[in-house]
Amino acid sequence: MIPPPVTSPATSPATPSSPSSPPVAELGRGMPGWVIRIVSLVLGIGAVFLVYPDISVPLLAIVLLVVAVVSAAAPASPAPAVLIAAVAIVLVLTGGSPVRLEVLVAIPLLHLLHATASISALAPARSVIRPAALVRPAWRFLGVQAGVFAVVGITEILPTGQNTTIVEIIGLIGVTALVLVTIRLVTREK
Amino acid sequence: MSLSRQRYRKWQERRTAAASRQWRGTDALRRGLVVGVGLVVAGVVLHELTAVLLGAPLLVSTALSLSVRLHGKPSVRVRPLPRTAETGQRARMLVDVDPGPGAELVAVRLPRPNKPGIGPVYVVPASEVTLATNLRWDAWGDQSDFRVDHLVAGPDALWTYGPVLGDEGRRAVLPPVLPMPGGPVPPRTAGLVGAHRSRRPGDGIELRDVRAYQPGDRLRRVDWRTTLRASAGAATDSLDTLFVRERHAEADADVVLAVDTRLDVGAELGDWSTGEDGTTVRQGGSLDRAALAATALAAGYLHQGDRVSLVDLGRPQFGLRSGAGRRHLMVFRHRLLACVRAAGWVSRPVLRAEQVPHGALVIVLSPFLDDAVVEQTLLAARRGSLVLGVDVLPRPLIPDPNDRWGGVVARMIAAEQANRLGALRARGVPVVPWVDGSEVVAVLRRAAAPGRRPVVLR
Repeated sequence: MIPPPVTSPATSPATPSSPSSPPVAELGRGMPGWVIRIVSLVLGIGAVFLVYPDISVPLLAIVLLVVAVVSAAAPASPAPAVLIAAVAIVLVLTGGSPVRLEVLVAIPLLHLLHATASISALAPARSVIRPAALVRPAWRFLGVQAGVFAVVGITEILPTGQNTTIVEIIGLIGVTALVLVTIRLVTREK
Repeated sequence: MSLSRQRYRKWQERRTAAASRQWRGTDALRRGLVVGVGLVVAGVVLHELTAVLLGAPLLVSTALSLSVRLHGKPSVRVRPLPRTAETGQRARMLVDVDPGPGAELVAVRLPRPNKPGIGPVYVVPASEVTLATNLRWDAWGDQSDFRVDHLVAGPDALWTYGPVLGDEGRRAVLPPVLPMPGGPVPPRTAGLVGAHRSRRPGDGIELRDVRAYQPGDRLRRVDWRTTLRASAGAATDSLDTLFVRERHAEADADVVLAVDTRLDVGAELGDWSTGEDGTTVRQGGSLDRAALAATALAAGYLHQGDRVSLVDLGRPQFGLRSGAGRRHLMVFRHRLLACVRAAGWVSRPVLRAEQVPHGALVIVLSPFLDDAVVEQTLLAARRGSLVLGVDVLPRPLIPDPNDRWGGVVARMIAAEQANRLGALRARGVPVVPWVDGSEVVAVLRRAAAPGRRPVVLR
C-alpha cells in the first residue's frame, strides 16, 4: 500500500555555498527604472528653464522642452546631446561672468543629465535598479564636480582682464592633453 | 517573404548577434566625447571659460570612465535547477555573473522572487557576482520560467557588452494530485491477485468459511482445532470429518482513465479559438480539469493498490499501460503532461478494445462536445466494461460579448452537449460533471454496491 499523495507545496533546499564563495545578493525591491527617467526629465526641463530668460525666441524654448521630453523618453537617442549642447551654447552666447549663478547651476545640472541619460539608456522603464548600482557613478560624479569647481575657484583667484601668455599656454596644453588622452583611450584595443 | 529578403533578414540577425557579443561604445560615449570635446575646444579657441566649464565635466568623466580597461567576455550562468517541479513548489535560483574586469553595471533579466514569469531587468552593481531569487510554479504544464538576458556595462555605461539573449529555462510542472473529497474510490475487482477482497474463495488472508473437507483441498488448510472439537462429540475415536478453513480470494481493480485531449476550451466562448500565452494548458479549461481529475482518480486508485492505465483519446500512442504503485503515479503524471504537450484536435477519438483490460472500469474524461467521443464511450460500454463519463466542460458558458449571436451560440452548444449526455445516460452510461471529485466517488460507490448489475465482483 503506498502512502497518500503529498499535495502541500514543498520548497527545494537552497544550494549550499562554501565559506569561500562570494556573498549572494538577494533580488527584491529596488528603484523602478522609470524613476531615473523622471529625474532625467526634471533635469532637462530645469536646464531649459535655467536659460529661458536668455532665449529671445519663444519657439526655441518650446523646441528645447520637446527635446527634454524626448531625451527622457529615449535616452539612447541624440536628444540628450542636443539638449546639453543647446543649453551650453545659449549660456555662452548670453555672455557675462563665467562664474555667474546660471553657469554654476548648469555645470552639475548638465553633467547629471548626461549621467542619468547614460544609465536610463541601460535600464528599461520597467526595470528594477538596485541602489548599490548607483554608488560608484555617484562618487564619480561628485569627484568630477569637485575638480571642476576647484577650477572655478582658481579662475576666481586669477586676475581678471587680459590673461598672461603663460596661463594661455598652460590652458591650451592642458586641454589638448585631455583631448588627446581621451582619444587615445577611445581608440585603444578592448 | 521572398528568399532574398529572408537571407537579408538572417544576415542582419547574425550581424546583430555578433555585434552584441563584443564591447561597444554607447550614445553616452559619443555624447561625452562630441559635446565635451566640442565645448572645451570651442571655449579655449574662443576664450570662453563658460564653454570650458560646461564641457569639462563631460570630458573629464568620459576620460575617467575610459581609463578603466574593459576586456574579457562577460558570462551569466544559472546553477542547475530540477527539470520537473510540482505545482506550488518553490526553488531557489542562483545565478553566477562573471562581468569581467572593469565592468561596473550588470543588467540581467530574472524572475521576481516568488512570482511567475520571466521577470523584469535588474540593474545591479558588477561587484555582486551571485544573484539569488526564488522561483515558484503556480500553474502546471510545460512552461518557460526564466530567460536570463543580460547586458554588462562599463563605468557610466559608456561601453556595453550585449544585450545577450540568455538561455531559456523550461520546466515540466506536473499536474497536482488533488485529494478525492468523497473518501476512497470503490474498486472493481478482477483477476486473481491484488489488494481487494473478492467474493469468491481463494488464497487470501481473510477467513471466508469453515467447511467440510472436499477432494482437492490442501491438507494445510485443515482446521485441526475445529475437526477435533467436532469429533469429540462423536461416539468413535476416529476423525469422521475433516474441516478446512476457506479464505477469500484477493483481486485487484483495473481502471482505465481515458482523457480527451483533443479540445481545450474554457468557459468563455470568445476564447475558444485562441491559445493562452506562457503555458501549454488553459487554466480552468476542459483539459486542465480533465488532467486534474485524471490525476486525482489515478492517485486514489493507486493508493488502494489498484492498477491504472491512461488512454489519450486523441493520440493513442501516448497511452500508458496498466500499472500500480507510487512510481506508476509519477509515470502517469509525466505521461499526462506529454499528452497535454502534444494535445490538439483530431476528428476521430480512439478507444480500442485492446486498450481496455477485461473487466476494467473505464472513466472517460471529456467535455463531450462532439458525437465521436460519445460513440467511442458507448462502444466501450457495449464491450462489457463499466463506463463512467466525467463531463469536464467549465460552466456556466459565457457568450462571446463581441458576437451578436454569442448568446444563441452558447445556448446551442449547451443544448447539444446536454443531448449527448442524455444519450449516454439513456444507454446506461452514467455521466457526472467534475466539480471536486465527490460526485464521481458517489456514482462509483452506488455502482459498486452489491446487487448492482454493472459492477460484478468476482
